[in-house]
Amino acid sequence: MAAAVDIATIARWFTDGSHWQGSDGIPHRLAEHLTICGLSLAVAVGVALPVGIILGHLRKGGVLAENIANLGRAVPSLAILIIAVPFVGIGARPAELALIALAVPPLLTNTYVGMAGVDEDVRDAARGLGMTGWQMVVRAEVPLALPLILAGLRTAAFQVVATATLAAVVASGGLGRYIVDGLAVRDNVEVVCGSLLVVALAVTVEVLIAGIQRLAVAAPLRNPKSYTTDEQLEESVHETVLDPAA
Amino acid sequence: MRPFSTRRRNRAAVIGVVALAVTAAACSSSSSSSSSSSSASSAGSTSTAAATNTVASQLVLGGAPECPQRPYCIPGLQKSYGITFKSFKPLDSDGPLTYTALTSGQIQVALVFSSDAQILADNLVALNDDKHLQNADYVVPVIRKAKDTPGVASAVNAVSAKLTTAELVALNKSVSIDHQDPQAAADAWLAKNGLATKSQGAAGTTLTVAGFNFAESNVLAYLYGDALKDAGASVTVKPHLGTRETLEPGLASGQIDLLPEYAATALLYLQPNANAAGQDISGVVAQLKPAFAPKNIDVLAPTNALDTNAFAVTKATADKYGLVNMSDLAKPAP
Amino acid sequence: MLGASQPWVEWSWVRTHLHVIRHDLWEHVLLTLIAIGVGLLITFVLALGARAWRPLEGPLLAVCGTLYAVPSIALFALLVPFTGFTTLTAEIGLVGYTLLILLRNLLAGLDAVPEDVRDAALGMGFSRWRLLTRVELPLALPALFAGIRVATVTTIGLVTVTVLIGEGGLGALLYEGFNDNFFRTEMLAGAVLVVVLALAADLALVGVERVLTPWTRREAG
Repeated sequence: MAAAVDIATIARWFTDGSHWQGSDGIPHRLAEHLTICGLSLAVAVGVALPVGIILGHLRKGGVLAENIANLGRAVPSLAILIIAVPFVGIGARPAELALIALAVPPLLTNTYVGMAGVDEDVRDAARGLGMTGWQMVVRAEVPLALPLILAGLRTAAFQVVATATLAAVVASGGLGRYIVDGLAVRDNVEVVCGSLLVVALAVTVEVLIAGIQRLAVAAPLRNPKSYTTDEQLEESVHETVLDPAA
Repeated sequence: MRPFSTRRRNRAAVIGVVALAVTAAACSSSSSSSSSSSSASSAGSTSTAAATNTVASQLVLGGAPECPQRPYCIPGLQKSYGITFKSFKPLDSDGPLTYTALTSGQIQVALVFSSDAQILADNLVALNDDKHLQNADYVVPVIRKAKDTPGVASAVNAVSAKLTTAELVALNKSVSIDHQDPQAAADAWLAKNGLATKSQGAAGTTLTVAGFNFAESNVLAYLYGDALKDAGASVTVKPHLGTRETLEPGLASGQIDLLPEYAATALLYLQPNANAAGQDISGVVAQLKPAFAPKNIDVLAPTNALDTNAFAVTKATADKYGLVNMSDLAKPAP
Repeated sequence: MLGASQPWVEWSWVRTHLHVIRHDLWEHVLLTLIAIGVGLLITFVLALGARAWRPLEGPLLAVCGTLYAVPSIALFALLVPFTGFTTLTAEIGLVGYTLLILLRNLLAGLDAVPEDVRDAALGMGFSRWRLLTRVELPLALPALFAGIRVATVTTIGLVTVTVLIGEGGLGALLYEGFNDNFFRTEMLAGAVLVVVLALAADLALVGVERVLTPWTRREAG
């Protein structure tokens, strides 16, 4: 009963008009997906950025902030998704909780390291100019930390868009529905097409934020290698988390 | 998932898409019907005429993802009752997602299984199937011919003889509501009904018993599986294996040997144009046997346990729209 | 709260299901070990290839990166039509996800070997092979280990997703509890054990790294 997966059936699925309308149509599912992701990212940014900026500026809580990304990796999103259900019910809510929990660690770590990595000379200069702590943060430190912060945003956004597919497991909407529902009825074409849609969206979001990175960060600052620690080893470890722009 | 650099990322993406396309093309065979591809969309669109201002058109239906393709669900609702719901939300097969969605108001009508104890526990109303869309869905074990030995058949039939609708509901309750393990519940039932005495009637046979992806089917799988174990067979039980799309091919190919099926739904799955409406169980089984025969699958004795598909609403919804029968859903919306 | 009026931990259930928990835990560990083992093997082969022929490095990393970019459930789902609901499908996906981290770290580690050390070895008459095995690989070990740590923790998390294609390890506890009317004890068992396993694995690997590369500590200290 299941159709074979090949170029023809995939093309047919995408060109089928009924797949572009209604509550199970691509535009609607896409909108659901983006809504969940957007909300979660917004909350994650709202939580992680202020905390990271403050901790980084004060040079406090470094051990926790630097390692929270590692800790975050140890908690699988599916676990948070499922455990959240008894608390917040099914649908978009548990998905948003899980995605916020997913996005905060890379954002927090990157923001902290970016802020804490600002050269002491720059801070001295700022103090010398008579800047208050707040002014130092806004006018000197954050602009210098921006590359890493945006890199963290890129990582977080990509992960959120990708992981939102799991939300379908708790009766949420989004592009993951094509994968989960297709798996349920062995409609392999639907599964493959859903997967392609998710990958396309994730890559698009990636590229968009990379574009923002390019615009927002002045050219001389684009290569922030000087803000990570010296040892190349730590750099390669941090690359996995921080990932400065190309 | 941490990407490495934008340029490489884009290159990687292009390579990836090309690789996927090449792989897909390499694995292409003559594509069979793509009827499955326009599956879930039919529910959302408002293509058909008649159903635009009924009670149903104001309500959201929710249930197993395969509902839009099943004759007992969306297509049948349109054909027999002339109703189309506002939209369809894919959830699970009579599972916690469906019941939670119904009780929390995310859906107003749920596709459920009539023997599920959760209907009573959640104070729901299962609408009366007055136009007989649903059929004689009695539990009936089907088995591969190669494994259908007299010893095996007699062990299975002994269980079937004692299984009634009331027993089935009680079994469901102990698993879904009292949180008993399906296997423990099954074993307790076998013991209670004097079917747990060891014998060697089925010795020498190896069987794989499978269950669909909902709780009741798993209890049934353990029921038959452990009964066969007590009769001396070597049994593997594979619960939660999937929907018919997975299990029917598995049965035909020999990956599984015994499956507790549901008579009318199985018949319509194999032969969508079969005459199952209004037939009693013997009429359905009489058509089921020749339907399974070409695949070398035998149909054993049916049980008296009815578990048919049903559509449930909350008491509040039933009161609000005056819903008792399914055809009440076709009444004009207030 | 959903499924309310049940305590979060019903110890009686835990006691009667220790064998299930143990089985799922073991399955989880096994899936992870296989993924990391096969991943390392493939990584070494790929790294050798990239070293032998430089132009290969870019495309190799690009392919691994592409695999990494595909969301986990999508990757497993894409494989199902071809390899079915099997352990093989799960492992192909899991191994694929380790490759980018391991390969990139190994290559970075090999690249970080100081030029003068390489020259000295070559000057002493080391063959390319001896150079690789006696000098470059040991020096690249810390970088590789960092990668193994990340890959292991990531894989442990990803194994839970395989429950959606019929495998699962501890994800099975999580998902079956979920399907069993949101049975909290079972769900919690799965969630807690997965996190504990990931943290334990990370710590264990830190310990192993200490043992295998004592010179890094001496340098830093």
